[in-house]
Amino acid sequence: MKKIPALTATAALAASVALALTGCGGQPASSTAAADFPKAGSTIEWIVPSAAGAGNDILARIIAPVMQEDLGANIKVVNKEGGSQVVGLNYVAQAKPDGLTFGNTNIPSILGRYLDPSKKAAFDRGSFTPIGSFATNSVVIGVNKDSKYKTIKELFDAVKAEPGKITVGTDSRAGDDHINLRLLEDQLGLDFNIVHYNSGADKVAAIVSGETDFALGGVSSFYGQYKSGDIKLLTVVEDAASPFAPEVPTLKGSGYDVKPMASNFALSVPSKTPKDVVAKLESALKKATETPAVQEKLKGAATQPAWKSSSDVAKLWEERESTIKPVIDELLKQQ
Amino acid sequence: MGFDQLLGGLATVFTPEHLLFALIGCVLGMLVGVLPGFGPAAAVSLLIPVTFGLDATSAIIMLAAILYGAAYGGTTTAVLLRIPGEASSIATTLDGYQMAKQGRGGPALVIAALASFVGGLIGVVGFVVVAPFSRLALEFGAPELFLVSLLGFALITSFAGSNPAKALLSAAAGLAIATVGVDSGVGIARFTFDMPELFDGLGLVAIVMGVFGLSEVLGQAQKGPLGVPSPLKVARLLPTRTDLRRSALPSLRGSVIGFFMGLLPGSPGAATSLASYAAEKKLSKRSKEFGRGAVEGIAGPESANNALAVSSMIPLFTLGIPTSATVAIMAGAFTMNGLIPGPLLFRDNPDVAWAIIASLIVGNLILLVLNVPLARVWIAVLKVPFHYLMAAILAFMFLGTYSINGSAFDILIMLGAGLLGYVFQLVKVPLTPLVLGLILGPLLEENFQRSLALSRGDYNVFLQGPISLTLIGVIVLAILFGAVRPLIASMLKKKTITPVASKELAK
Repeated sequence: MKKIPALTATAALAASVALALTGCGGQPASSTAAADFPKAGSTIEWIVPSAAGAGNDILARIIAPVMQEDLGANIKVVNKEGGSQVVGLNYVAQAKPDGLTFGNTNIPSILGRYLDPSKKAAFDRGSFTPIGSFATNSVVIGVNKDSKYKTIKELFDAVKAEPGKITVGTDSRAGDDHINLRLLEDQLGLDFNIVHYNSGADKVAAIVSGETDFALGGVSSFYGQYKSGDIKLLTVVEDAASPFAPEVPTLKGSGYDVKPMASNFALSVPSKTPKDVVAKLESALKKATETPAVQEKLKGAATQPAWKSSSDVAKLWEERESTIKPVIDELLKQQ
Repeated sequence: MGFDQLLGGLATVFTPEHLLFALIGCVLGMLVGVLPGFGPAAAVSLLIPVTFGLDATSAIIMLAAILYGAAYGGTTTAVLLRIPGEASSIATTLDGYQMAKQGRGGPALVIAALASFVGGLIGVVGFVVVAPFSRLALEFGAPELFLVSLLGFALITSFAGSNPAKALLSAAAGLAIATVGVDSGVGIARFTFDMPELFDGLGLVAIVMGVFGLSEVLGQAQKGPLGVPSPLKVARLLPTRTDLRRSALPSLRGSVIGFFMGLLPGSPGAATSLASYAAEKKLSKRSKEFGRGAVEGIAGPESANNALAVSSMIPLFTLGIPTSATVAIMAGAFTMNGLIPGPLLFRDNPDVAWAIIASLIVGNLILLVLNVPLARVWIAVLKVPFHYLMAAILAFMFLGTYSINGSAFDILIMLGAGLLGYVFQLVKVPLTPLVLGLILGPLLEENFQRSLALSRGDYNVFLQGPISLTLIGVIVLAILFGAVRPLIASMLKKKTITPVASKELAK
């Protein structure tokens, strides 16, 4: 019979844990929204819709501890991979709008998820309220160091001379690279032979080995090979030069009128989350973004720390959606 | 590059601080890795925040230690419970679990630890020798990788058991399961039933855990309350002299196989340890013992696995290109600590680079020293009566499967795979070809599509270059010796044994 006290103790403990989890005495969590968000000791889930160790995941694990300290609540990074991010994004969109769940809604990546009906996303732009964006990644175009194309003009002229012949690798089908390449094709009247790889690393390997003629993607995915000289960057698809590759000319500067393509690392909560809760998360994210240690780690990963507020991200989201929607519609028609 | 720098690196590692972090990394990695479903990639990613605030060298030494610590943790459950913690431990379940059932779990674990150490050591030596030539690995483009995957199917004959037709059925089932999802070339949704959970295909780890682990639990349960076996005998802990002698050559061969496979883009760990197993079975005089507790069947794959873990980092160190998901996380760890993986690492931070390479030896040594006494602790698990143990295993499998992705759907996949594995076992269909089909299917398909996209539909792309031609030659030989020769042999046999039947055929 010795076991009984231990059992009751365990039961009491379990009950108190359960109470703590449900937010004290079963009050509906939504009524607690306002001033006291987040309750001390509560747990906020940061949903990363990709695998542990992916770019998004590593950045989340850099920032979460800093935000956590500012908010005085635990932030747990949760990986929900699957359905090219749709599984994780569905989860965020359908979460209780109490600020205790937010996730990566990178722009433009997320657009490809819900503008394509075959992806069966249960969300659109209206399902989310952004809390801000902590970094950007400029899009660049790179070639092998021994490539015969020395400038972006030489490359594009070659594409024009032989439409559909020059090969370019992407990190996945219907991912950012693919959509950006289609945007380039549309805006400049070019025709590439687009080949899909499984990851940014495979795409870069194909450039270094000479399997593909060129590649387009975030500057962070080329950074190591750019620094070592294995890959030559021809242009940055941006209005201003990238701080990570300052001598690389912009596409605009080379005489091509193309809208900037940078991707933004935005975070969002479900759209019905109370405004003051959004504001609290926003200020915590802003503070974390401006923390020197975070900035240093982001820069180490060749990702440019750059703060964009909730309203700026919302505006950017709307703009990018209107540019990209026609491209995705056209991609769908070709299937 | 050379052995001088490696010795210099060893000197750097042998500071109390670095050794401590290597030790902590090994222990943490093992603890996380023992949980089914938590492979090295997930373990490293989860534990990255632990390394914040350390200097770059310590941080990466610790992360590397977590990586192989977790890989070793998967071996423990593979041997004791027949649950491969990750896909690359499948080969170890085949004989490891049989040994455990015979009361030789201790020797199995110790041999696994020793073979892993040999693999790690040979991996590092190979690292120093091969690193300057690592660019050659990039010669394996999409067409070559397609041919390598095709060659991989030759392995099926080694896992066929007594009935090749059943093995082919099993492999075909694996290939069929592999087709589920949105195809990566043109974006066609196959068997996805509009469920986003199915777009990326069915999770390999969930299937592997179900097919091997759950099917075993079901098989035990089928025996009913009367058939419950008494707790397993736990005989001696250390391997015998014969065990060691029999493991020596397989460890060396496994290391070499693993080392070279690790250099290839994709570094397919599961296929590599199965390849090593197949090689040992072919070469062994005791090939009948394989699948019934042959110690070579542990030594080969375990050393291959660890040699691969080391050599798969070579392209990251020398070219800055991570060739697998696991190594990609290491790449992330480098950049977060302000180091750029690639040739610059050796130019700008040679001390750090060599310290990390040297730490691979030290970490593997720590694992060995930890695991020989720990085997005694793990073995104690087997003393738990089977019906309690199975219940606990089921709980851990649910937890582990859920933790891969935070997805209850994966649990359903694991359960379904378990049922399939159970039915396969009832009708004596071998399980390994299924997993082989599942692993090789996507590699085969993606590289086929990619090759044709690169060549714009020209099939000659598979016939260009010395590597492709050599691979095609090997494939032809494999078909001739593996399939055609036994077929002819069996036909000749039939003629001599049943002259009546052949006469009837002649009519």
